[in-house]
Amino acid sequence: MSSNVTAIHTLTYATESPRQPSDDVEAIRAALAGDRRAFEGLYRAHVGRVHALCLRLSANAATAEELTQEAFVRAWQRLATFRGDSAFATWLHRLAVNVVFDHQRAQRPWYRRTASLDDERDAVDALPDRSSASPGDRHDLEAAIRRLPRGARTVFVLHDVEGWQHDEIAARAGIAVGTSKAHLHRARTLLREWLSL
Amino acid sequence: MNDTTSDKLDSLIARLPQTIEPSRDLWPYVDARITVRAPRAPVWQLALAAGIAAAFVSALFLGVPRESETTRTFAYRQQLDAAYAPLRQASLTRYRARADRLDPALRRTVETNLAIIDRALAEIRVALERNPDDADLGQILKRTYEQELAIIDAVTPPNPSPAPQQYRGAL
Amino acid sequence: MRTPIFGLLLLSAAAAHAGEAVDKTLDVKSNGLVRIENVRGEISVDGWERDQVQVVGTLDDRAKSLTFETVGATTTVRVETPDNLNRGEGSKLVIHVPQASRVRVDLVSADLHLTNLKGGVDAKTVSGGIEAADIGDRIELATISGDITLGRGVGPTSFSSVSGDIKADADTSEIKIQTVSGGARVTSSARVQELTMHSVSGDLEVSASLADGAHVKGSTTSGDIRLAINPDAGVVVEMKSTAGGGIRNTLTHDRPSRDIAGAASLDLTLGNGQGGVELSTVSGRLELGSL
Repeated sequence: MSSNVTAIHTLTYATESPRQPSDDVEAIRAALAGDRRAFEGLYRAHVGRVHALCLRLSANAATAEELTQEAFVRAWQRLATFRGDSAFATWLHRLAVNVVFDHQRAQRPWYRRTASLDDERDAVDALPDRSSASPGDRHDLEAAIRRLPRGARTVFVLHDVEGWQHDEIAARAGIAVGTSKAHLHRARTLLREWLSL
Repeated sequence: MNDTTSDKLDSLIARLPQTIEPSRDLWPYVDARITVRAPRAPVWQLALAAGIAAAFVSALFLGVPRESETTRTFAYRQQLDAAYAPLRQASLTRYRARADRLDPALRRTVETNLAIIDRALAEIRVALERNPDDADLGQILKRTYEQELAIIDAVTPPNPSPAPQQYRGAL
Repeated sequence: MRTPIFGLLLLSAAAAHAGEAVDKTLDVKSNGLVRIENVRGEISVDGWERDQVQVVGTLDDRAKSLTFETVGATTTVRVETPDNLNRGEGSKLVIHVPQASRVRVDLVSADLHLTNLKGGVDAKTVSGGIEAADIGDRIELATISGDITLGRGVGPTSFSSVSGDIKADADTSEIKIQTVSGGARVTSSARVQELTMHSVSGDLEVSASLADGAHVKGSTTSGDIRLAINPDAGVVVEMKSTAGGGIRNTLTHDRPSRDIAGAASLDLTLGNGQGGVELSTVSGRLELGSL
């Protein structure tokens, strides 16, 4: 009986574990003291996630890179406000979403300042080239997400990809919960249609 | 809606990669933005390490003087820097002597914010080099010096009284 | 029917056992000064109708002594503890004071709650937060790392923080905000006459109607400033962002201009232009909007 337990332990330790929150704590401490190399470590550990988020929300590779940079710069500036009551990744993630939203708000002309995820007027991008990939391939999903109108895309990414709840999305985006749900429904309907699901 | 199609979409979503690396390394750009040009060790750290003379501290503050620069604002800034240098040095010496008696979390907060101020000072100085006539920048510089002194004074007050009546702060 | 104003309650080290319960009351002047000092833990200071100061609660585990005395118009509550306090429980005290008292609080690592104090409050805590409601006359709230929350503050108000955040609903014409990295979100239901706000890297957000001839001055190094005012304000607005930040104006149609060096600026005149709004930043963003 005990030898079985030992074997299971060995197996668990042998597999590569994902980055643990405790790995970040040391780096954060050092970065707070001004150690940029430590912050670079945090950058390397988290840039993939942050960039994925920025890319899916902004649907533009160049913009996503700018937003990713901005997110890390802001994270450095605000590192002292990280209270450790959530994982660093979660804090960074929220910060990145704020960066994206700020950017989108700044892009909006002054007379539309109250509209947030107003996607009626947003153009829907042309369908990218259909590669030989089979229907429903996840590359197609990535491309299809990029094609979504901005409001639908934002809610879809935050809700279905990132796991936010509607009330959080609504609060952050300044829209009603019902609107958020409507955006999600629209996104999923369009995606199913485009991916022939 | 059709359960099967929901499942298919959901399973596609579940297979989306969690990370997407950018096409190029963005770190150099981030690094450049978080490091202002000509980085110096934070002054407060230097003072702690070496108990440096006021003259050296003044030299750090003056930045790059321009030869024919006699604008009122630049002269004001020089006076400002010269006036603050000894005050900063006195505060930093006091802080250095008492820092290890501070509560560790408080000490971290204080030193983090002193580092934030140091970066801000560097940023302001760079901006001033480009806009030496800018009175607003001079005001921002002055206020930033004042805030630095205020933080240190708040946790390690000057003239601590031997009698227990007064607020000590360094508990 | 008042007892003499002079009263002294001094508990010596022997009498004040650490962790001991306290329940003491002194008769005091109705509008004197009450000083609370050197306490760590959790302190509430509440104004009441009586001309008395009452201290109730438990003392710090490591308390050496409690001084509770009133001399003339000044009442003092002070807890003596050794230096180098990293362990043990602080004091938990509820202190009632006459609501017209002026209150001065100097704490170290204590969370402070203030309510119903109408004679003015000057509160400083180092690593603890301040929560205040229904306080008035002159208000000064300062922390290093704790947050400041103020509801229904009346009278000239000054907030100072290093890394803590400030959130306030004030009813005052004079506001001052100063932070290093903390953020601030302040509204005022009264028309503002004087507003000064400075931060190094924190974001400052103020929403308030401006009185005629109001003066607003705000600056940051890298923090953002968002100011929302009444569209019928009469002020000359000057906004400047030196290096890289941006300027956004949703109050009028005026657009900012950029010079060759990359500095952005926006100048405009609203109404009779009698007052002034000056916002400047090195690399933060400035935003002017409508209430």
